[in-house]
Amino acid sequence: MSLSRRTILKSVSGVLALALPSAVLAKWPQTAFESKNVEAVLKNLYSESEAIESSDITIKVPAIAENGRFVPVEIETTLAKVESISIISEINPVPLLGEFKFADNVLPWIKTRVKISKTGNVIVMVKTNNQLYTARKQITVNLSGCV
Amino acid sequence: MARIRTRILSRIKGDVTTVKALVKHPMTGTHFIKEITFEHQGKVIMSANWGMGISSNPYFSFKFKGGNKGEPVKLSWKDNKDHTGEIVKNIK
Repeated sequence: MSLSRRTILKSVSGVLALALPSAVLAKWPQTAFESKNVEAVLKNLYSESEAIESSDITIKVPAIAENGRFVPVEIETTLAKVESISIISEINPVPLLGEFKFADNVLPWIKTRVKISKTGNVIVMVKTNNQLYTARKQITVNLSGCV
Repeated sequence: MARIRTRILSRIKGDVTTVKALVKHPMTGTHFIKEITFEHQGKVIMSANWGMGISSNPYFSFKFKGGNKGEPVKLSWKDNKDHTGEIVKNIK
Protein backbone atom coordinates (compact mmCIF):
# COMPACT_ATOMS: atom_id res chain seq x y z
CA MET A 1 0.00 0.00 0.00
CA SER A 2 1.38 3.39 -0.89
CA LEU A 3 1.97 5.88 1.87
CA SER A 4 -0.56 8.34 0.50
CA ARG A 5 -3.33 5.76 0.29
CA ARG A 6 -2.49 4.63 3.77
CA THR A 7 -2.68 8.18 5.06
CA ILE A 8 -6.03 8.71 3.37
CA LEU A 9 -7.44 5.45 4.73
CA LYS A 10 -6.17 6.36 8.17
CA SER A 11 -7.78 9.77 8.15
CA VAL A 12 -11.03 8.46 6.69
CA SER A 13 -11.28 5.72 9.28
CA GLY A 14 -10.40 8.25 11.96
CA VAL A 15 -13.34 10.44 10.98
CA LEU A 16 -15.70 7.47 10.79
CA ALA A 17 -14.48 6.15 14.11
CA LEU A 18 -15.50 9.39 15.77
CA ALA A 19 -18.95 9.29 14.23
CA LEU A 20 -19.75 5.57 14.43
CA PRO A 21 -17.37 3.80 16.80
CA SER A 22 -19.15 0.47 17.13
CA ALA A 23 -20.21 0.18 13.49
CA VAL A 24 -16.67 0.66 12.26
CA LEU A 25 -14.90 -1.45 14.82
CA ALA A 26 -17.31 -4.33 14.41
CA LYS A 27 -17.65 -4.38 10.61
CA TRP A 28 -18.95 -7.89 10.02
CA PRO A 29 -16.72 -9.79 7.57
CA GLN A 30 -19.45 -11.50 5.53
CA THR A 31 -17.25 -13.25 2.97
CA ALA A 32 -15.05 -14.69 5.72
CA PHE A 33 -18.10 -16.07 7.52
CA GLU A 34 -19.41 -17.50 4.23
CA SER A 35 -16.10 -19.24 3.49
CA LYS A 36 -16.28 -23.02 3.61
CA ASN A 37 -12.63 -23.81 4.32
CA VAL A 38 -9.79 -22.43 6.41
CA GLU A 39 -7.76 -21.14 3.46
CA ALA A 40 -10.68 -19.05 2.22
CA VAL A 41 -11.38 -17.71 5.71
CA LEU A 42 -7.76 -16.62 6.10
CA LYS A 43 -7.64 -15.05 2.67
CA ASN A 44 -10.79 -13.07 3.39
CA LEU A 45 -9.77 -11.95 6.86
CA TYR A 46 -6.07 -11.29 6.33
CA SER A 47 -5.64 -11.14 2.53
CA GLU A 48 -2.15 -12.37 1.69
CA SER A 49 -0.56 -12.07 5.15
CA GLU A 50 1.72 -14.98 6.06
CA ALA A 51 1.09 -16.35 9.55
CA ILE A 52 3.96 -17.45 11.78
CA GLU A 53 3.40 -20.51 13.97
CA SER A 54 3.78 -19.33 17.56
CA SER A 55 4.25 -21.19 20.84
CA ASP A 56 3.40 -17.92 22.61
CA ILE A 57 -0.31 -18.58 22.00
CA THR A 58 -2.03 -20.84 24.54
CA ILE A 59 -5.30 -22.51 23.55
CA LYS A 60 -7.13 -24.12 26.44
CA VAL A 61 -9.81 -26.53 25.28
CA PRO A 62 -10.90 -29.87 26.65
CA ALA A 63 -8.93 -32.69 24.96
CA ILE A 64 -12.23 -34.53 24.68
CA ALA A 65 -15.45 -32.54 24.32
CA GLU A 66 -18.47 -34.52 25.48
CA ASN A 67 -20.85 -32.13 23.75
CA GLY A 68 -19.66 -30.33 20.62
CA ARG A 69 -22.38 -27.71 20.97
CA PHE A 70 -20.76 -26.23 24.08
CA VAL A 71 -16.97 -26.34 23.96
CA PRO A 72 -15.23 -23.93 26.32
CA VAL A 73 -12.28 -22.15 24.72
CA GLU A 74 -9.76 -19.97 26.52
CA ILE A 75 -7.07 -18.19 24.52
CA GLU A 76 -4.10 -16.34 25.96
CA THR A 77 -0.95 -14.98 24.41
CA THR A 78 2.24 -13.31 25.60
CA LEU A 79 2.56 -11.59 22.22
CA ALA A 80 2.59 -7.78 22.49
CA LYS A 81 0.28 -5.25 20.85
CA VAL A 82 -2.51 -7.69 19.98
CA GLU A 83 -5.13 -6.12 17.71
CA SER A 84 -7.38 -9.10 17.06
CA ILE A 85 -7.85 -12.81 17.70
CA SER A 86 -9.87 -15.14 15.48
CA ILE A 87 -11.09 -18.64 16.29
CA ILE A 88 -11.54 -21.10 13.44
CA SER A 89 -12.69 -24.73 13.49
CA GLU A 90 -11.28 -26.44 10.41
CA ILE A 91 -13.96 -29.14 10.44
CA ASN A 92 -17.07 -26.92 10.81
CA PRO A 93 -19.22 -26.17 7.74
CA VAL A 94 -18.82 -22.52 8.73
CA PRO A 95 -15.20 -22.59 9.92
CA LEU A 96 -14.93 -19.00 11.21
CA LEU A 97 -16.40 -18.97 14.71
CA GLY A 98 -15.54 -15.46 15.81
CA GLU A 99 -13.21 -12.51 15.43
CA PHE A 100 -12.37 -10.41 18.50
CA LYS A 101 -10.88 -6.92 18.31
CA PHE A 102 -8.87 -5.48 21.18
CA ALA A 103 -8.31 -1.88 22.27
CA ASP A 104 -4.79 -1.29 23.58
CA ASN A 105 -5.85 -1.48 27.26
CA VAL A 106 -7.43 -4.94 26.84
CA LEU A 107 -5.31 -7.92 27.93
CA PRO A 108 -4.63 -10.57 25.26
CA TRP A 109 -6.97 -13.12 26.84
CA ILE A 110 -10.49 -14.25 25.98
CA LYS A 111 -12.83 -16.99 27.08
CA THR A 112 -15.98 -18.15 25.32
CA ARG A 113 -17.92 -21.25 24.24
CA VAL A 114 -18.06 -22.52 20.68
CA LYS A 115 -19.63 -25.26 18.56
CA ILE A 116 -17.28 -27.90 17.13
CA SER A 117 -19.00 -30.21 14.66
CA LYS A 118 -16.64 -33.18 15.00
CA THR A 119 -13.08 -34.16 15.89
CA GLY A 120 -10.60 -31.75 14.33
CA ASN A 121 -8.32 -28.79 14.86
CA VAL A 122 -9.18 -25.47 16.39
CA ILE A 123 -7.04 -22.79 14.77
CA VAL A 124 -6.32 -19.48 16.46
CA MET A 125 -5.02 -16.45 14.59
CA VAL A 126 -3.47 -13.57 16.52
CA LYS A 127 -2.88 -10.31 14.70
CA THR A 128 -0.48 -7.88 16.34
CA ASN A 129 0.33 -4.39 15.11
CA ASN A 130 2.86 -5.81 12.64
CA GLN A 131 2.51 -9.59 12.29
CA LEU A 132 0.03 -12.45 12.01
CA TYR A 133 0.62 -15.48 14.28
CA THR A 134 -1.14 -18.81 14.52
CA ALA A 135 -1.50 -21.86 16.75
CA ARG A 136 -3.74 -24.92 16.65
CA LYS A 137 -5.04 -27.59 18.95
CA GLN A 138 -6.94 -30.79 18.25
CA ILE A 139 -10.25 -31.51 19.97
CA THR A 140 -11.94 -34.89 20.06
CA VAL A 141 -15.70 -34.49 19.96
CA ASN A 142 -17.95 -37.26 21.28
CA LEU A 143 -21.36 -35.73 20.57
CA SER A 144 -21.44 -33.67 17.37
CA GLY A 145 -21.96 -29.92 17.58
CA CYS A 146 -24.61 -30.24 14.83
CA VAL A 147 -23.52 -27.06 13.06
CA MET B 1 -40.07 -10.21 19.90
CA ALA B 2 -39.57 -11.56 23.36
CA ARG B 3 -37.18 -9.63 25.53
CA ILE B 4 -33.74 -11.20 25.38
CA ARG B 5 -31.96 -11.32 28.68
CA THR B 6 -28.44 -9.96 28.70
CA ARG B 7 -26.19 -10.07 31.73
CA ILE B 8 -22.83 -8.48 32.39
CA LEU B 9 -20.55 -8.50 35.43
CA SER B 10 -17.37 -6.45 35.69
CA ARG B 11 -15.16 -6.93 38.71
CA ILE B 12 -11.86 -5.21 39.43
CA LYS B 13 -8.90 -6.83 41.18
CA GLY B 14 -5.68 -4.85 41.37
CA ASP B 15 -5.67 -2.86 38.13
CA VAL B 16 -7.39 -5.52 36.01
CA THR B 17 -11.14 -5.54 35.42
CA THR B 18 -12.62 -8.87 34.35
CA VAL B 19 -15.81 -8.61 32.30
CA LYS B 20 -18.12 -11.61 32.03
CA ALA B 21 -21.11 -11.47 29.70
CA LEU B 22 -23.99 -13.81 29.00
CA VAL B 23 -26.68 -13.21 26.37
CA LYS B 24 -29.72 -15.42 26.13
CA HIS B 25 -29.87 -16.06 22.39
CA PRO B 26 -30.54 -19.20 20.27
CA MET B 27 -27.43 -18.81 18.03
CA THR B 28 -28.69 -21.07 15.24
CA GLY B 29 -27.67 -21.10 11.59
CA THR B 30 -30.56 -18.78 10.73
CA HIS B 31 -30.63 -16.58 13.84
CA PHE B 32 -27.40 -15.54 15.47
CA ILE B 33 -25.66 -12.55 17.02
CA LYS B 34 -23.29 -10.94 14.53
CA GLU B 35 -21.76 -8.12 16.52
CA ILE B 36 -21.10 -7.57 20.19
CA THR B 37 -19.42 -4.47 21.55
CA PHE B 38 -18.16 -3.41 24.97
CA GLU B 39 -17.62 0.21 25.95
CA HIS B 40 -15.89 1.69 28.96
CA GLN B 41 -16.05 5.45 29.55
CA GLY B 42 -17.58 5.90 26.11
CA LYS B 43 -14.71 4.15 24.34
CA VAL B 44 -15.08 0.82 22.53
CA ILE B 45 -12.60 -1.51 24.23
CA MET B 46 -13.67 -4.85 22.78
CA SER B 47 -15.75 -5.66 19.74
CA ALA B 48 -16.38 -9.06 18.22
CA ASN B 49 -17.84 -10.43 15.02
CA TRP B 50 -19.62 -13.72 15.58
CA GLY B 51 -21.06 -16.39 13.34
CA MET B 52 -23.34 -19.32 14.06
CA GLY B 53 -20.35 -21.19 15.55
CA ILE B 54 -20.61 -19.44 18.90
CA SER B 55 -22.63 -21.61 21.31
CA SER B 56 -26.26 -20.81 22.11
CA ASN B 57 -26.71 -18.42 25.03
CA PRO B 58 -23.23 -17.03 24.37
CA TYR B 59 -20.76 -16.58 27.18
CA PHE B 60 -17.82 -14.27 26.70
CA SER B 61 -15.17 -12.96 29.07
CA PHE B 62 -12.24 -10.56 28.67
CA LYS B 63 -10.01 -8.38 30.87
CA PHE B 64 -8.93 -4.76 30.65
CA LYS B 65 -6.80 -2.21 32.47
CA GLY B 66 -7.71 1.34 33.40
CA GLY B 67 -11.12 0.68 34.96
CA ASN B 68 -12.25 1.88 38.37
CA LYS B 69 -15.00 0.79 40.74
CA GLY B 70 -18.32 2.42 39.92
CA GLU B 71 -17.51 3.17 36.28
CA PRO B 72 -20.03 1.82 33.76
CA VAL B 73 -19.27 -0.90 31.23
CA LYS B 74 -21.78 -1.13 28.41
CA LEU B 75 -22.50 -4.21 26.32
CA SER B 76 -24.44 -3.94 23.06
CA TRP B 77 -25.21 -6.62 20.50
CA LYS B 78 -26.95 -6.95 17.17
CA ASP B 79 -28.11 -10.13 15.45
CA ASN B 80 -28.70 -11.04 11.80
CA LYS B 81 -32.40 -10.14 12.10
CA ASP B 82 -31.40 -6.67 13.32
CA HIS B 83 -32.60 -7.34 16.82
CA THR B 84 -30.46 -5.48 19.30
CA GLY B 85 -29.84 -5.42 23.01
CA GLU B 86 -27.76 -3.52 25.48
CA ILE B 87 -26.99 -3.39 29.15
CA VAL B 88 -24.90 -1.09 31.31
CA LYS B 89 -23.50 -2.14 34.69
CA ASN B 90 -20.92 -0.49 36.89
CA ILE B 91 -17.60 -2.09 37.76
CA LYS B 92 -17.69 -3.76 41.19
